[in-house]
Amino acid sequence: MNQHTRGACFSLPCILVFLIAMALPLRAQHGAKDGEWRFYGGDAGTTKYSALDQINEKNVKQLKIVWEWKAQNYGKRPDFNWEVTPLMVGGVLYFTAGTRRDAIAIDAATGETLWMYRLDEGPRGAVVARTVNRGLAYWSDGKGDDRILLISPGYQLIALNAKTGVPIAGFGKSGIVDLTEGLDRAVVKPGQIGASSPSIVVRDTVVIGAALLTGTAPTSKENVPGYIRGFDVRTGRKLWTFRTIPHPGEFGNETWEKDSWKYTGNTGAWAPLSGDEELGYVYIPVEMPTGDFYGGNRPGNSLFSDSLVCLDARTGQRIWHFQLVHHDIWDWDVAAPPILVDIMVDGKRIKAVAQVTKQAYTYVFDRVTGQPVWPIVERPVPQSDVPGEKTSPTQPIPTKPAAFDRQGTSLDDLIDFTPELHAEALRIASQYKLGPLYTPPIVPDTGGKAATLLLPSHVGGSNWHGGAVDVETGVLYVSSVTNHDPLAVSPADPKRSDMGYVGGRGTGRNAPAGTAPASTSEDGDQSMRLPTRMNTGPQGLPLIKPPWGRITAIDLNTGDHLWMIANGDAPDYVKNHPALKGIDLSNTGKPSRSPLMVTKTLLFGADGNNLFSNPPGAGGNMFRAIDKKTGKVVYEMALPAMATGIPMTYMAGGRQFVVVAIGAAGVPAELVALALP
Amino acid sequence: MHRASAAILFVLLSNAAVPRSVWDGVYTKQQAGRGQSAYREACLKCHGENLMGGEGAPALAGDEFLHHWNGKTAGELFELIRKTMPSEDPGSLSRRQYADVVAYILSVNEFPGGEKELESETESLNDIRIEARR
Repeated sequence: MNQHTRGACFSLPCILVFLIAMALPLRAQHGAKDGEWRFYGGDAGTTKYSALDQINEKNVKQLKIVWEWKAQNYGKRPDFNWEVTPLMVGGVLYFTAGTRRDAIAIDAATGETLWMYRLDEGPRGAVVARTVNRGLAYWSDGKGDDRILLISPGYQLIALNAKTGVPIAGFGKSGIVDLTEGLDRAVVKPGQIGASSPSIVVRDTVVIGAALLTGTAPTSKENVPGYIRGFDVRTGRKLWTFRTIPHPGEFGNETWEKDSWKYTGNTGAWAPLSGDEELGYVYIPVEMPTGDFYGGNRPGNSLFSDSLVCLDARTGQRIWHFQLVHHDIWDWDVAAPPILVDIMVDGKRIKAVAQVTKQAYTYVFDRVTGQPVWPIVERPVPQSDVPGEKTSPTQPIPTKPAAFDRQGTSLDDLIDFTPELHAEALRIASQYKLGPLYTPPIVPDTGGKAATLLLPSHVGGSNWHGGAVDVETGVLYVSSVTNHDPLAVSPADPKRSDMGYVGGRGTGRNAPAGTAPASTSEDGDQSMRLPTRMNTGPQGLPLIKPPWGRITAIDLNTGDHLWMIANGDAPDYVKNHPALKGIDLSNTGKPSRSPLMVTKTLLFGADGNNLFSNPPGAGGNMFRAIDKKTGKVVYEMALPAMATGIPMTYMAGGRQFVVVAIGAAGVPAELVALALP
Repeated sequence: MHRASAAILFVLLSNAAVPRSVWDGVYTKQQAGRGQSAYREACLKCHGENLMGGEGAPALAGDEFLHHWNGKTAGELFELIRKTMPSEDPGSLSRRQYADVVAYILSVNEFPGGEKELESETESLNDIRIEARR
């Protein structure tokens, strides 16, 4: 199937845009400008790049924590997994904080709190689809009307005066727009839909994505659709809705067979969005439809699920799209923000967009036209034998760049630190169906196998952390985890779900079923705290070989990998494992994604931590400065806890700061600011 | 029921040292209701509205759950939850709230409610066996 939007790229506006783009001198994506950080990802293109250079490879060793801002008392309960990246505008940091997702402004130089905005949503805010928060959006008319855009846990859009934190009276209803309205469902219950990532403002339009409850074992095949919507940043008036699940007569409706468009939901965009102010386009990473591992209720390819969609920011008109996974039954949402960068390929300058994914591919397109920069070809893939399931015969595979993490499972992948562990790993693996990427889940005990062993699993590869790109060189840095998981679908208990089949981990003897090994220390010791989710491998170890976490540098001008490094050494639960005494574990990488940010001088990263570290908390406290050309770690320092958000950088009072959110189980979230003495 | 056997049953139920099972009405409906509220705030986002599990979170109801917990005790379930959940802040609920959540889990798995609330002392809970089938 031709993925390209037929017709759209040959339309007059598109041709005009293309001609204008060709005629003008190409303006690179600049990253964060003027020592500020105005978007979640630094700039609208989510490059996470800043041209600042005060902190460099020579003086980085002098970095010290200069202030901390504690989020502990924001919300009824402390937040421990704060995925936020602050904005910095005019010497003020803006961010969301706490389990109630308050909006906060602090002095960028000192960390002093300037204002806070708290919305008590009552029951609406008590049960929410997502409690994690990644930050805010900012807009200014350039004449003194400066606004902060917040999406509340209960899915309301709030416009605040950036100077005071007071809601803008002329925006929506007293500053608030109810985002649960207009979703083509008679009733939208509290907690069904929300957002974890901020909106993005392009061409005076606030573009909103959506996050819903996870769909491993949904209660129903029916859910709320996660439409993308645009609102006028001045008035809050809804300008457009882009139906990610199209209605009859709309492009792509036929890809929802048996009227499944009528009831299927999800298909939102929960990762951060990106945009190009100059083109007037927004780039939307769309997740999968309802039912993470069983698609029998939604036969067809289900456009625009698992697609990268380019929309006109002012009208919501689709410019182009590309579906990255057809009929997803692996939970391979497009989970990372698209990265916009200008590159030079075979002597031709291209305004590109790079999309990194959970299955460890980087899909690179001309962001004006949607044409793949390197061919993406439809290749035959294994087919499902689950009753009622109809998998796509092919999947789109990029010919370049190569995958940035391991894909598919075989006996060659199993850990072999010692002959005993390898033998045990072989025994465990023999319970599972192994195979290449896109091997579907099985019903437990099919062919004598407990489940399909999936690599990367739905929590492997890249995720919302995405990557960072050096806008001067076109080199993309992406962090990923080599995370496998058994995956099976079992008949759903009709009392609890009308799905037919729901996801699980099968019947393997070592399948993590919520058990935890005996505690080996007091609860307070982070390094040895009880894992809540065991590994599948021998004695609680990963089943597959390291590295379990890595950073890869990819030259987007050539599509070639430049280097790959493990993300630190082994997590403590591996280092302290009795079966691994005396074995060099210095280069295994932490099984968590390094949160990356790049400046003129250095690449910054960290051990990282997120809910999906396996086991949770298997990250570490190290923060690193890395040589961009070689991947060599120039300097590392321990933070008080794990980096949970993406770092950002800015200038305040003539000083360059690096700010990152940290926290860990039992260590309430805070921001730390690093600077030279 | 004879008065005598009712009295014996009362003695059995009121004596924590006597082994009981989840079929013996070990929680109250009101307690399960409180547990549901706590579950919705602290557990739902990972374990799902129907307790069927989610990304990295096992099912807390149904065959997979019962298969795993069959033969273990309510005390073990209580302790596991208390020590490891919510994953970002283990132990942050009160003992009573953890007991309420266990009561809710029992109710969703269709074990009958009774007149007496599930205790929040691990020792007492260790006397309550989880039996998938009566």
